[in-house]
Amino acid sequence: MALWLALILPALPLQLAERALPGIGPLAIVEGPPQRLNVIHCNAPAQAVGVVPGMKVAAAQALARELVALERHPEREQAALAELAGWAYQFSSHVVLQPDGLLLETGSSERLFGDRARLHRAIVTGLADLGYRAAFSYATAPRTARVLAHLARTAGQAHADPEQRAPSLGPPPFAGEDELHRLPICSLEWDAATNETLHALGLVTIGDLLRLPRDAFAKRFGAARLDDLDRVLGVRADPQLLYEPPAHFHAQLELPADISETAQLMFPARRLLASLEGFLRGRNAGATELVFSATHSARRGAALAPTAIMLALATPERDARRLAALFGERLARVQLPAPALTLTLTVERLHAFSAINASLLPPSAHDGDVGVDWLQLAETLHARLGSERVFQLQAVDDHRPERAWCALPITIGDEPRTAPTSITSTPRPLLLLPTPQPLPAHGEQPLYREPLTLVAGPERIECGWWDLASPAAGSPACAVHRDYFVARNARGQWLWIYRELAAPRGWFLHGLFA
Amino acid sequence: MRAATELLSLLHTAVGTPLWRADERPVDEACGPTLASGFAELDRELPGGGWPQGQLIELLTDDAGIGELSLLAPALAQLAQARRCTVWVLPADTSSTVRTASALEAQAVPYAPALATAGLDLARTIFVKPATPRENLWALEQSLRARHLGAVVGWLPAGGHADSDFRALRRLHLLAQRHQALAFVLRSTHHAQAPSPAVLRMLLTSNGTQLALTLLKRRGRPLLEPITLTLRPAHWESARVEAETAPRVLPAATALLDTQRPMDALLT
Repeated sequence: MALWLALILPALPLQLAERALPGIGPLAIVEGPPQRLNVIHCNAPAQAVGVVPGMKVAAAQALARELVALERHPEREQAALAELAGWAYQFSSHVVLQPDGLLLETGSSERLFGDRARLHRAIVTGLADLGYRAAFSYATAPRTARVLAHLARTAGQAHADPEQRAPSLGPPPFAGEDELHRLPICSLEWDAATNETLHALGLVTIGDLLRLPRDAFAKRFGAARLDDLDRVLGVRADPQLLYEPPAHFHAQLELPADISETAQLMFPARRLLASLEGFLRGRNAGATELVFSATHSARRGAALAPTAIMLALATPERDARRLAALFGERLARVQLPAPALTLTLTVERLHAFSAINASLLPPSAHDGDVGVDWLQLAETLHARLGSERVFQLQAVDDHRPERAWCALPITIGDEPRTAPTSITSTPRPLLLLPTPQPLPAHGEQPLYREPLTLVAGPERIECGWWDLASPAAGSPACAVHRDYFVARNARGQWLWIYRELAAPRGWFLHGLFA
Repeated sequence: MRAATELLSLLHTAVGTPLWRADERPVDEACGPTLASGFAELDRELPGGGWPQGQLIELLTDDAGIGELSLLAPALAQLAQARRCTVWVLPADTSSTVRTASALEAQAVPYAPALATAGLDLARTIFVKPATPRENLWALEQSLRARHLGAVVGWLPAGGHADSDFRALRRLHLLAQRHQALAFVLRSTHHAQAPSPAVLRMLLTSNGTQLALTLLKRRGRPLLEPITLTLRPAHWESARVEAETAPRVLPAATALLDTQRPMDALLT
């Protein structure tokens, strides 16, 4: 049986500002021509000092000096609703975008989530994670659900606030026909003129309308109104234009207060990641590359480039908590050149997500739940320290010692890396100096802290003359002509040293047999 | 002494059950899982017969190149055989411009061909080169949190206050106990007298050719005399070569010169 859930987000512009940052002070959303800005929504701290919707912004600012007045941006509200629809797509494939809310067909997906109550709980807690409050109602027809949700919205915010409503209550029971008859006409959301006319006629409830003769009603108020009434009753087909999720994820949060410290970005980032998780769940996908971008206000007339914060993962991931933990580590390396105004999250490519445990071994009792997996460890280290500081090593087929290895970015997988068999038979040191260190010599005897005794060698390494690339500063030498020795000093340090074959015939320390 | 022996035999008859004496080998069952170090002389003295897993192991050494990593290599190779992963946290970058020998030695990176020859699995090893001592401790902590990790090898920053060092080690020790990883930390010998929560502490010195391990602390009775391990090929011990004063021409090059002679003959 089809079951429709109507969600209405009351005071959406205010919610958009409030969900971006925790604990903001008096806040008002204003609208109108620049000279006559009117308050249309205000939050609880603003109401506490006496600001009410409909007030002039100047009057409101006189009441609360620290009042933040934000202009309404209808296009941002639409973008936020579209983002919310992308999030809601995880609960139902039938999502309908409406000007101030959503419609979801949940009847066919409730078994996927267990039962109706669990699905409802998942939606309510998910909305709370996103920072939204919504009025919602279930009904068998979309128009009916919408009417009931509108009633729930006007009935009181307490009913609509998901945090105050215990999520365990389960879905509100949907109304029978006689309950619909008792609803006031205003819940139909018809235009004000029609409502006034009906009111003047002494018609108050939907039941009053239904008692009128149908053809006379159609003649007086138009056939469209009659059709709408039929849809409310669920007796007329009501096809809906379904939402289709986009191919990539893009979400933006306007920050109502300037953010200058990176730690403060965590809160809006969590909201974005919660939205991303829902979107990815709906698409059964995971992300490997997340791009956060913080825009800044222009400083001294010059526009500042946005700060991009990349998050790269080894395997597709969508768990918001894990991503938030990684983002937190990544933030340690970020500096904001100026206070941030907006935070954007973009995921261009979606990857197939397989929901296997990252570790196939069952967690032992000893591990508890505190263990981090190997993969997560690699990503955490990588996120905090960057790819230059977290790496893997690989042996390379080359006779020149400094070219016989290379550092690689971490790739985690089970595919065995082709390990070249050692092309030398003589022992190599476990530690190598990145640049050979010149050693002083006393006559023919080199010194490192103390005179060195040569115990093995020479091993002549003379190669690389074909490598014509000019050696850049700091890069390993191209052609080497050296005699390598194993040396030992009185402190017991075993060293790998060489002597240049070319003219000054200097001694160099290259490795340590650690 | 005779009285003591008599007392012992008396105790034996009185108690009846086998008597454990403090100067005997430590009781193996009392310690957790261990991993053989690969050196019989060392395993004999380690409680449980090997490196303790899930416990902090402190190696105190000043000079790089005395064999401190060769000591760990057999155990790490065993872990590679078991397809376990390893994290190395290398010494943090030193900001000081003073070019001391220890600063130079701290710059050295593990050399991949030698590690591969020693049997380590490079595909399952992550190396971390921290920028600051704080990152160093952070990386060690994060690594010890990981499940199924085989070993962590980390260099600890040289000098903090003894108290803060102890707190940092204590944190590492507690984290190490969560899992079965081998947790090796390398520190300077300055800390030999400082208190430490590690269950196994070793002072690594060299007697010239061999590595001498002084067990500062272990479970069970203390060991007074150091253990010496031979880590180098036998022919290195006594060998002594001289550097030639002039570069010798390689035999191969001589052969090349020789081959040109018939060519010359043909031409003439």
